[in-house]
Amino acid sequence: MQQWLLVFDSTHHAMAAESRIKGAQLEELSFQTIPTPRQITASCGLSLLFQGAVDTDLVLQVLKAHDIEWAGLYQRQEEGKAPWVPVELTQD
Amino acid sequence: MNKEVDARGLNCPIPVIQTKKALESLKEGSVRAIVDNETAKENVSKLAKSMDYRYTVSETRGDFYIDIFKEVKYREMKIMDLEMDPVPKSDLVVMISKDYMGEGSQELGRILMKGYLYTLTEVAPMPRALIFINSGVKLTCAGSESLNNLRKMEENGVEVISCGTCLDYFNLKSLLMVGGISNMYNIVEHLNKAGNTLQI
Repeated sequence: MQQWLLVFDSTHHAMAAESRIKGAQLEELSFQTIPTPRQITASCGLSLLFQGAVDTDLVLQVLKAHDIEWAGLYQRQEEGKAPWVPVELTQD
Repeated sequence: MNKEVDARGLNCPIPVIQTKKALESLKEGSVRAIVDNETAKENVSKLAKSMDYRYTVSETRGDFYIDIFKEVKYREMKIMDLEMDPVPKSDLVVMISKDYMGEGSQELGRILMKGYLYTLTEVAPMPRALIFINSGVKLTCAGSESLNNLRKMEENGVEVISCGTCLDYFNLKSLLMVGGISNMYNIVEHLNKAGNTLQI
């Protein structure tokens, strides 16, 4: 299964992101707030972990709509095994 | 030699204590415990499990019959099973006494607790048991965001135990979603037997 990881510079941003994404009630979106995996150092320590088919654009739109900054988006293939790979985002 | 313990109409933890006494008085043989409610059935079954005895449960007209077999042979089989366990477990028993981690901010504490339970699933060895007391029981009940992580640990052999008195106090008994219900006797036994305990 594919996993996505959204990392933040600030705990407050991570917590605000969690509550705003929950509030947006995006369909079939499964995610949990987790301590950032050790491999990723650029983070406050909290990340959002998304499982399966995720419309990351939609998620990032929710954050943008509420002026919540994030530090990076990562992706990996198999659960628990493959290393996290940064996802290049096009700036608007 | 076989014994029968009729614990119908008796409240927790008396059925468990009587069954335990009967088992202890036997060298080999079986004990049939008869109880009339779900909680007592669960607790007596758990007792058998914790003592490594094979047991069967049957229900007749609202009464539960739990037959517990005290056999030497089964204990040996159980040791083999443990050796083949794919995920090694430490001798750590973690008691989670609230639904948030640390003091200062409960909002942050709830996030930390979710993160702690997630991380427990990622780091080997897993603890032997997780005991949830007081508002900690909210984590094992409907609405908790940690249910999947707790289920994952349970699948890997971690015992997940919620305090029955606490579930009752918060009116959550019917909403328990993962693990079993236990009483203070069982909790004390777990803590006393543990090589290492941690209270959060």
